[in-house]
Amino acid sequence: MSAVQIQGNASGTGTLTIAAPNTNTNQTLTLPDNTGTLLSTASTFAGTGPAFSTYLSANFSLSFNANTKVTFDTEDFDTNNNFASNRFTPTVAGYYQISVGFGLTAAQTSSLSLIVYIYKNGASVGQAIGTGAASFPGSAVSKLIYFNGSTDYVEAYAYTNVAAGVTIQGGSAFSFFTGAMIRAA
Amino acid sequence: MTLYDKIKTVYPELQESEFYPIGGTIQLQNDSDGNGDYIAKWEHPTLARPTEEQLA
Repeated sequence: MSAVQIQGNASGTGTLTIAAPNTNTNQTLTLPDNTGTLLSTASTFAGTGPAFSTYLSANFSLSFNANTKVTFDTEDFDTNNNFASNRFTPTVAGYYQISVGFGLTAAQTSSLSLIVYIYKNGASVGQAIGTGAASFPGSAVSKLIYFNGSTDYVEAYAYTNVAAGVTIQGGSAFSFFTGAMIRAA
Repeated sequence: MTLYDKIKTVYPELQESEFYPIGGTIQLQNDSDGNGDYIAKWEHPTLARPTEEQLA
C-alpha cells in the first residue's frame, strides 16, 4: 500500500492547516502521481498544452474564385511539433483557440471580397470577410475549436473574387496561422 | 485559363454570384497540392456539372 507523508519545513515558523469544508458527504481527494507543486485558486499559472505560430515568408497568390489552401512555410514556434504539411493536428485532446489572418499586397477594387477560412477536417468551420479598396485590405478569423487529439486537424484557406493580382503579403505581421490549447478535454 | 474561365466558357450565362462562397451554388477549390483548381461543390439548380471533356 502506498502512503501519504506530510513533511514540515525546518526553516519556516508558520503552521499549514488543512481544513475540511462544511459538508456532510464523504469525499476523496486524489493526489497527482507525479512530482510538483499543487495549485490553489490564488496561484498564477499557464497551460502547457500545444501551441503554434506560422506565417508566410514570401507573398502568396490566390486562385481566382476558388477557396485556396494557404501553405505556410515558416514557424515562429511549434511547441509540440503538431504543425506539418500546412495543417495543425494536435496530439493532445482539448479546446484550442485557432486564428488565421491575411493582408493583401496592394489596394484592390471596391468590389473585392477576401474571405479567410478555418477548415477543420476539410470543411469550413469559421470564416470572415474583408471587402473594399483600402490599402493593404485584409481579414482575420478566430474561433475556439475542439480537437480529439488524434485525427482532427485544421488548415487555412482564402478566397477572392478579384481576377488578377491578388496576393497575400508575406511576413508574420501580414499572414499568420496560430493556435494554442485553452482547455483540456 | 482558370477553371472559372473554362466553366464560364461552357456556361456563359452563369453569374459570378453563383461562385461566391456565401449563397453561391458552385464552389471551386485549390488545395495547393499541384493539382490546380477543382469543383468542390456543384449545386446549380438547372445547369449540369460540366464534364471533364467540356472543361478540357
